[in-house]
Amino acid sequence: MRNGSTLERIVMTEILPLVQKPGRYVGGEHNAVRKSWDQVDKRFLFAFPDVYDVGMSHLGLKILYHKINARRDALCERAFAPWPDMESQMRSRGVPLYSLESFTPAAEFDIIGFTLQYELNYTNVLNMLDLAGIPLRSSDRDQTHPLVIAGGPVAYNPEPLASFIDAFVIGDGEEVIDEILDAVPALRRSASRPESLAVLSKISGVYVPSFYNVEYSGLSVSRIDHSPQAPGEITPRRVADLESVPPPDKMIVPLIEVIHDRAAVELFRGCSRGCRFCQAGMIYRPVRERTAETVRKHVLEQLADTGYDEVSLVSLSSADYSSIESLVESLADDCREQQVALSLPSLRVDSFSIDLADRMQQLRKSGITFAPEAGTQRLRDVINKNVTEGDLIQAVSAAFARGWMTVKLYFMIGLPFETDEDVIGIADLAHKVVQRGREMARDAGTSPGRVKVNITLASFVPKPHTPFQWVKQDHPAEFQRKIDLLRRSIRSKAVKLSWNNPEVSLLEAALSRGDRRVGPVIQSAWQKGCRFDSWDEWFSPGKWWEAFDESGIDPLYIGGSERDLDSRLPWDHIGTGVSKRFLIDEYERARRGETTPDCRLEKCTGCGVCPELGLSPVLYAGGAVDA
Amino acid sequence: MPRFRIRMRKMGRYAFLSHLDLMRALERAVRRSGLRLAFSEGFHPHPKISFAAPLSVGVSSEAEVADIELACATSADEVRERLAAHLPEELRVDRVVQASADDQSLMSRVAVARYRISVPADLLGNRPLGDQIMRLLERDSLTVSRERKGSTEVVDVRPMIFELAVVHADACHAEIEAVLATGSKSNLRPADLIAALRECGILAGEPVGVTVHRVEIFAEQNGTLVPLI
Repeated sequence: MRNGSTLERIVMTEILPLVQKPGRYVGGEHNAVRKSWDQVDKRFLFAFPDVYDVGMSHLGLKILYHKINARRDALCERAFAPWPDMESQMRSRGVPLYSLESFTPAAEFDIIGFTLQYELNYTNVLNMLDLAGIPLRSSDRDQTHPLVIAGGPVAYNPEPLASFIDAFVIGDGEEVIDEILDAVPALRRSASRPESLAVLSKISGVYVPSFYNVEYSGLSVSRIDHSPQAPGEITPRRVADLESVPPPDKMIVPLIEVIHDRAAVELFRGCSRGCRFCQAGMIYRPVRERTAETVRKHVLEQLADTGYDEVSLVSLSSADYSSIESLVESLADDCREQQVALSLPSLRVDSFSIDLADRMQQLRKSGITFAPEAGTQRLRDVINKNVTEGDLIQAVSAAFARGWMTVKLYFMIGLPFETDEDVIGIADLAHKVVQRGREMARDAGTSPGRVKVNITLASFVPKPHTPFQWVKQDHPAEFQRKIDLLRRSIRSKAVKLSWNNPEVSLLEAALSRGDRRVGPVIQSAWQKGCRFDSWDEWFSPGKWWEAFDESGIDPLYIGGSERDLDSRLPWDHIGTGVSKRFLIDEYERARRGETTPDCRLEKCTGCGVCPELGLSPVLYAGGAVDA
Repeated sequence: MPRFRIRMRKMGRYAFLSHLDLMRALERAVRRSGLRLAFSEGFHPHPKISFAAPLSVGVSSEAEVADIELACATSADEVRERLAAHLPEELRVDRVVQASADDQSLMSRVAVARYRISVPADLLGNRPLGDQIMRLLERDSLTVSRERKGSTEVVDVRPMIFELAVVHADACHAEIEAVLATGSKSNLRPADLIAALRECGILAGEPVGVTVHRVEIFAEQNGTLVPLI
């Protein structure tokens, strides 16, 4: 039945000589796992709805890939969204979406699992299903088709894709994937697709949208019914103890250069800093650390098994890791000796982070970026970004003192309760950084003219399951007015400003807070040719607005409307563990400009995740790490 | 520091790697094998690995020659065995010899490379291919326009073709062997030869299904060609 070798020959001889970066489509990487199809009875295709270079930078893919392939009875292969030049070659020669390991058509797998990392990948999900020859809508599929599931952070509001995905997996994938694979024989025995979905919906953390009937009134849910076999609210799955799930050592090593082309070991999962705009800070709670000994062991094993020349210690805020200093200390010598660069992906705004980065000799390599997020103390308190102007000046001073001349600053614009004063505050802050840099340059006898500050502005997008899930997004015209105001407020030639396209943020807001009525819009945009919407060169806002228009839905209404605190939101039946009461309290505190401390440093903030999911923060007090 | 000259393949799917991809794959294999690479001095140390002549994406080869410098004493056999365990069959290292310290850099020594070009029969006209190639070789010049960094230039490729011969032909395809100038002084990419064959009418239409394989790479020594390794 499988015609992998014919497909492989056609792709290799007729198609790949004609496309850009053909290395994206050939597989064969070191540590890729090739298993015999006949010796396993559970075949899983990990589908990443973006191009190979992005997908292979994603740690979650590697975790699940190696976890599934560690089973004797299952295999996991990979497929990525083909770049448009490849797509057109595949379509013109009738080549379906195939797996990189065995060139098997996607439609022949038992399960296709998409990871949803970003709303702007939605059209790629549809395009990949279509290229696989699988009907787009779940209701048009039967037992002859693979089961189509999806997970990842964006699945916490699954409703826009509800009619295309058979089942969503909410929470940490490695916690639930074994149960899903164990169910494959039962899925196969089921007489119909609804019957197999009923089997799946019994697994905790699995959401089968077709078992729920939803009616809306305005932007809120007026009525939601569910079949008796499905739970009223989905409980997310979360690994209680990261120590029990070792990271992959024999990690797959791409042949072509990808965006994050390095080894990576997770220090911890979750973040309890409590920035109110940040979805990741809410949906991955509580903080669960690995011990420094475990991290160290896996860094060294991963380097030995991959041959990478760089390793990243990843998490949502790596400088917050309890044993970060002793860990970096213990790894620095090994890395220097092996000519391996050690990196932390995100720096905190303080001098401690600079000291760390300096010890890792990371500064000169990667530039220095801080994210104060807002221009005034008042607005930073509103968003609970626990950074003061003093912290920033101290951090940049430490950077300038080490010879760094260019500082990048990230800010958001259009934040809730923002005033023009806050926007102008961004310019003031940048000017203070320049002034500090020039003073220090003069003292050190270097040229003050070399000090540069680059500001990057992101338009705020209200995200589900955050304390700001109810607030409205600024109109694109208002974004533009604020950007212009900021531009006029910048007086120094040393300060450069760049910003993203407000239309992208509008689409992101409409998709991330959308409900089931957005599904047909996504399908229509895809039919009009939308693909790779997160790539500037492919983003076609005109087609999207046309699609919204034809469906009678106004993206500005979804993105730009304030929602009632007591309304039922389209994603309320998907639990995160954090209570709605906590989100409302946080929203009220934001309105009052009150901060909420990190539960690692002070008392429990009562977000509810620990009692709700039976978890507790896992922290290992800092101490020496045996080298 | 010991320097080794290695000869490796780049076959099958790996033909679609770029030159930089192949360099990275070799560097990572060396690291995995436990051999210690030597690094350049300076602010951005980089491993001392250099290939004789970059290969275009899509071209396979059984003669990719590179010099690598190690920071540990070892033998050529040891290097070959260790790398064998860390590279796929289609990137196999076939030979390793210790290079003497005063060997000229590979890049400056390489002069020509031999390629085998396979052409599907439907791209060839009715006239015998051998005759057409003979006639082509009788010409003094053969110009083709090629794209270089956005601008088009017209070059005479004839002086860069040293040998061109049909070595096999059947109902499905023909195989042509070509010995072409390769290296920093003068370089003819097989793709430009194919363009020239199209321009003078030997190949008809888009070169779909044409495959190119590098068979050997040579240095010139006292007027004769000697393989680099």
